[in-house]
Amino acid sequence: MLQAFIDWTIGTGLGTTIHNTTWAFPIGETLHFLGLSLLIGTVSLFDLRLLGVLKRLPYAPLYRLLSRWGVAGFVINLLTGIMFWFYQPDFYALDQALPFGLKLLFILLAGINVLVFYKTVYPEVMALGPEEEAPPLAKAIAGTSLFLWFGVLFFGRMIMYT
Amino acid sequence: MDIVAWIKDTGLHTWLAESVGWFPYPTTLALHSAGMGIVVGMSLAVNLRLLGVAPELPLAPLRKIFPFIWLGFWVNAISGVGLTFTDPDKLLNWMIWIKFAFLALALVSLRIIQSRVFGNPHAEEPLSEPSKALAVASIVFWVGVITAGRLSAYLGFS
Repeated sequence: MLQAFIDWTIGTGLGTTIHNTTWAFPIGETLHFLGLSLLIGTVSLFDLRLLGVLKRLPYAPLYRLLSRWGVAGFVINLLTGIMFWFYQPDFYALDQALPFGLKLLFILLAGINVLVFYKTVYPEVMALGPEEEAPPLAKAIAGTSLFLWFGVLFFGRMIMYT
Repeated sequence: MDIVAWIKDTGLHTWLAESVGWFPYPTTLALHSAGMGIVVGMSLAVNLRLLGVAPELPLAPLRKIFPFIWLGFWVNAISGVGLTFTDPDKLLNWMIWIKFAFLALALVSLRIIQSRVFGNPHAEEPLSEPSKALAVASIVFWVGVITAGRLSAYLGFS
């Protein structure tokens, strides 16, 4: 089934187009790094606030920064990531299957972690004053978030080196 | 360059360059990416605030972000030395020197923002035009560091 998806990807010819657009891949990589910086930076600030490591900053505005700019970073990376997939699907899916698979798994887990956040402590956190501490579940979610997103970054970087 | 030859003679170079698997070289690279995420990401967040994004964030407590930014910087300074020891020929690449130039500018602007805007306990809105210009410049410099760094894999060889 994976091979069918790889074959379909190659069959679209988009990979050839990207290959023939001289600076597409390096520009894509640069944008991928900028996107990850936006995501890691905003996620880290919000998570550190939840953990109580950063104090006295109001929660809701930090959250808004993350939900706009952090998500923008994620979207940039999703789009450039899709471009990379079309460029060399067998490299990621077969050759570098371990780090690529772990990276995708950690992204999925991070997404689930976000959903858990929304379904549980989100309203309570948004109502907190800037001097207040977040509830323990929020801290657990924040710690998990940091672990998962830095994991995404780690496995992503291992992709060329496996 | 003599330093290139000197580095190539060291045990550290051999250990890094002969990496098999994820350690030590790929992990050093990953640390460099993580440091980048922290430094550039948090700097972008601070600069965006200076440019009026999320105006409900009070300026004074944002000072607490800077120790994290500088921690990320040190992670990258150390991992950067590690990367240079792995592949010292990179020092012969002019694109890397463009990266270092942008980095110097980015660090200076970061330091100025830290002391001018956040070093002032009565930092007030509306922020002055020079402060906003600094924020824009800082963003440009960090984007320059990342871009030059990435392009050094493709350009800059003599």
